Amino acid sequence: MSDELNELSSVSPNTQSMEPSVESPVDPPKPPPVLPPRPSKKKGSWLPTVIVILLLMAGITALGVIMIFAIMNDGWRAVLGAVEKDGWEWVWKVTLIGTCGLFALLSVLVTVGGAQDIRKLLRRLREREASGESDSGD
Amino acid sequence: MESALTNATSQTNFGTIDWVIVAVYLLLSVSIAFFVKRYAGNMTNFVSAGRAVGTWLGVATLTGTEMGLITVMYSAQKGFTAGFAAFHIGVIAGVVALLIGLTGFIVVRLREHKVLTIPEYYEKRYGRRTRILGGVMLAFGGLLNMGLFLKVGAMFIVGITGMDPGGNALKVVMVVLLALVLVYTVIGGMISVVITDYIQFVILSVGILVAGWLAIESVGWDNLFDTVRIHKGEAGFNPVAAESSFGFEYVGWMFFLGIVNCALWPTAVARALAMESTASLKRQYTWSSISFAIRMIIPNLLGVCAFVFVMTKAPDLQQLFSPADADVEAVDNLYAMPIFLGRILPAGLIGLITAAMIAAFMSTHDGYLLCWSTVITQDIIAPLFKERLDNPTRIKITRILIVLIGLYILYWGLFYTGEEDIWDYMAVTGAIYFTGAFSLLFGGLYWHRASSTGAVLALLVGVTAVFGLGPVQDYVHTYIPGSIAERNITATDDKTIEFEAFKEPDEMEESAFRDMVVDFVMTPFEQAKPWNRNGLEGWTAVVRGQTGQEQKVEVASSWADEATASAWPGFEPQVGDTVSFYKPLSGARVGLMTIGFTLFVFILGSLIFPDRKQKEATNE
Repeated sequence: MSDELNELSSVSPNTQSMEPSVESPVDPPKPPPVLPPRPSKKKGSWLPTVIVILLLMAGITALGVIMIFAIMNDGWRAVLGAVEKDGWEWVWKVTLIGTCGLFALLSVLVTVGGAQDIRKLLRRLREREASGESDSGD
Repeated sequence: MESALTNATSQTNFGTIDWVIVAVYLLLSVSIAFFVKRYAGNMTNFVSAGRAVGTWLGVATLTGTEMGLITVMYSAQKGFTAGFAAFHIGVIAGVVALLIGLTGFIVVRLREHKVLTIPEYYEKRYGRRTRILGGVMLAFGGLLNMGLFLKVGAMFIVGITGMDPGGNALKVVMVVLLALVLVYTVIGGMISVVITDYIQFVILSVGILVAGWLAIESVGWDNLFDTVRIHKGEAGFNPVAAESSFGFEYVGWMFFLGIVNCALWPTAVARALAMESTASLKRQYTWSSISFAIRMIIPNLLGVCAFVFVMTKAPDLQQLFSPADADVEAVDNLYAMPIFLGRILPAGLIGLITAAMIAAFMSTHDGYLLCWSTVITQDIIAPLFKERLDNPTRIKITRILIVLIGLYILYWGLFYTGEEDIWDYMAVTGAIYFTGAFSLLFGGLYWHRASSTGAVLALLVGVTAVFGLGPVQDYVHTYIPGSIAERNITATDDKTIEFEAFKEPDEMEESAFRDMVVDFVMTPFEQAKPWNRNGLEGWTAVVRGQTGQEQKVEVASSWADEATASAWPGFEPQVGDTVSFYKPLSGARVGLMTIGFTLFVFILGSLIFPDRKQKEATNE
């Protein structure tokens, strides 16, 4: 595969607009097929990804363990004993409590952030409506 | 039994104040549609909200669409029937969503192409015929998949509000719900969808967490686990236990479904394509992984709590859902969770939960109606007109299709007679589309040699997933490898039928060809040894009467010349009737086989028939 083709691929999406001109019913020249882009050599930052993974894992584990302490009120020995005795049961207890805790946190973030996003969305649509823009790019 | 069910649903705490809460919410939703109507003027705004959705709103709308009332119902059903072991479905879904969020697998590259729908990408990569065929397959699988949403949603409303399930209440609720969804989807398009999704997220997230807490409190934390252990044993916790209804095959199937739900399912992908940037998209999926897990885990929990409640605190419900007498037919266990919630939640809160669930119902329906109608407009009708349709015409066609699809799901909900769990029904019907789509998207986005011929073959082969449906297997059961052809019934005795005895075949000669090829191909299909004691146990017997009527029943025990059922659901078999036997294939097995098959023909087709134009373009 040549590099030229990949360059072509990267610009071709705009050639197939979803809003074709009504005034020109003649078929436009058929664009070449869009091939997958070559893997980018540009390295993105991996730190946020690692932080997110660690936060999620730590959150699930911590919330689960804390709640099990609260429920069982009997310290590590009881927790380890429970794992040994009822492995799957313990797994689902931690999963349930951990994911519920994370979901509660997510709900707060989405409630606040989502309201702001709606304001931005409506503002942007109003601006587009005023300027007569019909489609958007990145 | 119906009057017992009516009696069971009537004991709900749902009152006037709850109706008021529900009504206020519904009015709010429809008002939003009218408020944003003026922005839905062009196709990009109507379908993708102008590609201007931010991360948090993206999380809300992805969750709102994927956490529908249908999700709550089928997950609760899985929890009710399988216990805590069903949690693995949600956990796998969450982990896969997280991986996709972190890597951007499929969705980021798709977003970079700025397409509105997946078949639109097919055209760019494989050509117009693939787009049209892909659109047809997508619409076919998607519409079948959506067919039971309305009925299941209405069952929840009937169960929790205490309406009479035996009367016309179910049909009336179906019509009212459908009308409401149609109104605001037709009017507002994606913009009203994302905003109502946001409101739904807020209400539902509070409602579902509170409901989960109260459900646990009503049955007791320790009692919850103890009862599951007593009644379901290890299979109630371990999804790969020997006696589990899941097993490794099912877990593998769930992993693939996790990828499908995030990266291939058009309603989820539509949310991805509506994001303002690829960075937002990855954040959207990363954060939504929690929702992808919780959307199944908490409803699973509600189902488990309903099971424990039925078994330990409500003898009347135990008689309904788990009758001691084998002759008495159990009530559809989809009603268990709403009846349970109707009994444990206090007035006021039950209205809030119901509003949240109706919100979930509506946000899923609006997203799905918009998605499938858009696919038909953009990917089947518009390409057939060679893109000469202008924007107002496209929006008009989309709106008409939304109404037609609504009428279809009303019809399908009333007449489909399959007996699978709803989740398994949805997985199989969705597989008609996504098994082919996986090959096309994965191959198209990551493999340069993928060709349009391979794509068309993969799409066509994906249809074989339809054999995972119970009614389809009933229809073609004589062609399932390993099935046993009809033989005459020679005598009957209550629940036992007798027929000409099976004889053990002579030992076959050793053959390398047979060992390597035939045995490999036949591996997924069970081969009975009916000459052995209980060799047909668990198989399905299809009894055909002399006048042509047919009934199927699971074999409880068997011997070389007889088979016994626990009850005859249709009619008493007579001498001269015929019986045939087959082992139903699980949806998971059919799905996995279809994936393998589609990938195989896709790769083979691409290698044998490469695209000439692509080669030319490459050499330029």
